[in-house]
Amino acid sequence: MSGAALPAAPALPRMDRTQLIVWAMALLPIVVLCVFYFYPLMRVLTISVTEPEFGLGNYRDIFTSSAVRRVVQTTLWICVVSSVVSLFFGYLLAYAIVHAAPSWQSWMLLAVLLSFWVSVLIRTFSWIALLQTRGLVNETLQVIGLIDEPIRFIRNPFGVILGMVHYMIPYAVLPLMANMRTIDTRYVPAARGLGASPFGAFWRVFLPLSLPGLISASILVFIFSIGFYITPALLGGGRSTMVAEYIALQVNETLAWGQGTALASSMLILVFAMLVVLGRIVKFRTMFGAA
Amino acid sequence: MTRQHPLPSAATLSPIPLQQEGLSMTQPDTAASGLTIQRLVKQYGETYALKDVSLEIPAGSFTTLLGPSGSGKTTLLMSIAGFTRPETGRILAGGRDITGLPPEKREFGMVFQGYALFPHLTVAGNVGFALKLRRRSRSEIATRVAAALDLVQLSHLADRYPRQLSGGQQQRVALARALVFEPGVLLLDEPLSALDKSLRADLQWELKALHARLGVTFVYVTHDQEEALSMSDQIAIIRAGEVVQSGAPAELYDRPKTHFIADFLGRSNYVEGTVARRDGRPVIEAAGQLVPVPECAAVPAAGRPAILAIRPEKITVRPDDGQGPGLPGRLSAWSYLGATISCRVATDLGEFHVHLPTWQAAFEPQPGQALRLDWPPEAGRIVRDDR
Ligand SMILES: Nc1ncnc2c1ncn2[C@@H]1O[C@H](COP(=O)(O)OP(=O)(O)OP(=O)(O)O)[C@@H](O)[C@H]1O
Ligand SMILES: [Mg+2]
Repeated sequence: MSGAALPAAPALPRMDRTQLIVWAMALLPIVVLCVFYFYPLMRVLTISVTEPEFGLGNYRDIFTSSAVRRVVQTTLWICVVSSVVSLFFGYLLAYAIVHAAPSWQSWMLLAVLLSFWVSVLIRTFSWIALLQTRGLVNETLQVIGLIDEPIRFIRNPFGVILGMVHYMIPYAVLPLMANMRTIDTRYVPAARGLGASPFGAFWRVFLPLSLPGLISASILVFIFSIGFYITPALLGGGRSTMVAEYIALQVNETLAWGQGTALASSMLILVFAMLVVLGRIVKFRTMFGAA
Repeated sequence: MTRQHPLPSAATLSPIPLQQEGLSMTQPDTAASGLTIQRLVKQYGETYALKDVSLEIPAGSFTTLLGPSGSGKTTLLMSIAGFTRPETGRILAGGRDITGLPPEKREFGMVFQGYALFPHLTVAGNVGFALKLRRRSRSEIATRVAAALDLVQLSHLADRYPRQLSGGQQQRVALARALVFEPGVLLLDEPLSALDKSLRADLQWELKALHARLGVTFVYVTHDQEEALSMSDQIAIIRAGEVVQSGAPAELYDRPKTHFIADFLGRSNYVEGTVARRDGRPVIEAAGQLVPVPECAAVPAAGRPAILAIRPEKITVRPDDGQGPGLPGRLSAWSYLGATISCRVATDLGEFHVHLPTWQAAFEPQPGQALRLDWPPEAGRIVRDDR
């Protein structure tokens, strides 16, 4: 073997037509994103530090205003409660789907995902139709004679939480299912064989192994819950104003743009922080079941 | 032209499968319990995974369930463990009916295929799992986990997680985890099948030694016939949900009852024909040859069809000098295997496989060479046709 015949250095690949087309096709979405997404976002951030005057005054006000504190408190407890409830039911659903017979699994999953196709507005109005004082549920209960006076299901925190949970359950189910699918089906029998009761095997083996799924689902669901706007506005009846609704109020009604955008920016930062934490716990790809 | 196949010329050694001596059952620590399986039936839809399985597993024995893939071995083991509910039948452990007990009440150790070690627990956590469930004190758990890890020579890896272990080490952890609460019965589902060959051989010896040392009843599932022969006190051969024959390895190898067993455990040559009697002795008449058959209860009446199975290593071969006893044939192929020569000989009764010890081969193999095959009548076994 002689070392003389070195291969010629490969010519740099030229950008050929197909590559150009690909770039051109990618350009349009990039432009659209810049114009309709990043630009408004930058505007929001700018307004929050310039309106009514330059500085961080709006952010200071967030921490001092009692109205904001009340709204944040309401938001937090409603979000925590609805997230926990969503996770609970999501966990049950995911567990049931993963352990169902294969022929059933896709039907059960379809039933969960079906709700994605109904807009949040329609769902909210459906709840109102069902649960209002003269709605189907109250009327039925009265006819049966179980109650004399109609129960207040909506226009209170209960109604808000109900609507939010209904919306968020699928978002809890998906990451939980993706995680539970990776748990070897022999672990629970192995624990039983070593002397664990059915619940003991769940508590000591299945639950710890599903913890990564539970954590990612809880962060995802909590992030979703903070951004709810229509559901609290319609089902809360103005009594339990949450952050998103409060921002809309600032911007549309009181025209306090600086206050509204500062609150919006703070929420954005909070959500990003949670996403960073989430990214450290799980890889996004595995969270949604991608291999 | 009918030729009488003569009586044996030389006694043939019958092979005895490798059995480990030396490690005898000395001071068993645990009270092993025997198992009685009575008429177990398990159905999945239309197919029977178990149809009427009965088996006696003596206390302290090493019993192997051997059978081809899909024969129902795992189903039987899972029924014993309590993970599968048979439709009918009973399982007794030490005389007590355990058919209705959930797995955690049976107190059997179990090693799963692929081990199923808990990934969120360390080696020590895995091994101590059963003790923790039994609410033993922390110091007792520590000492017994240490002892169990010592048993499988893994004390130095107690703080590792399962994913940081090799396949053989995981296997040992699974064994320690199943033995730490001193069960009377240990169930193992193909524990070595995921390991490479040399490691498997090592672990076979270790398992065998462990069994001898602990005196626990081992119920071992495998589809590897050599593994079954070398390790077991008793083998139950399972086929399509039925126990075809059970017994000691040497008994199954030397006295297979059916064609399936003669073929599944080792290899065999077969002579198919009709039974006849010559000079008061039974023979099989096939392709104009009369092949003597050992006198036994399995020999059908004269005129009935029968199959004679002969092990390849029980046949002797010599060059055909045109005289003397033996079945004439021509050497069609051979391969030299060091200790033995494996020959294929074309005869009027079909192709015969013969294994000759190299030092006994009294001829230089040549293609098409004329040979005579000979074997003592006792070397043959009449087997039931269950093909
Ligand atoms: N959960 C189940 N549902 C339906 N059929 C099953 C189930 N488990 C086992 N079977 C069927 O029962 C029969 C016996 O299965 P089993 O797993 O006991 O075989 P095996 O002898 O352990 O095979 P292998 O050596 O491949 O592990 C097979 O035909 C199998 O398809
Ligand atoms: Mg199996």
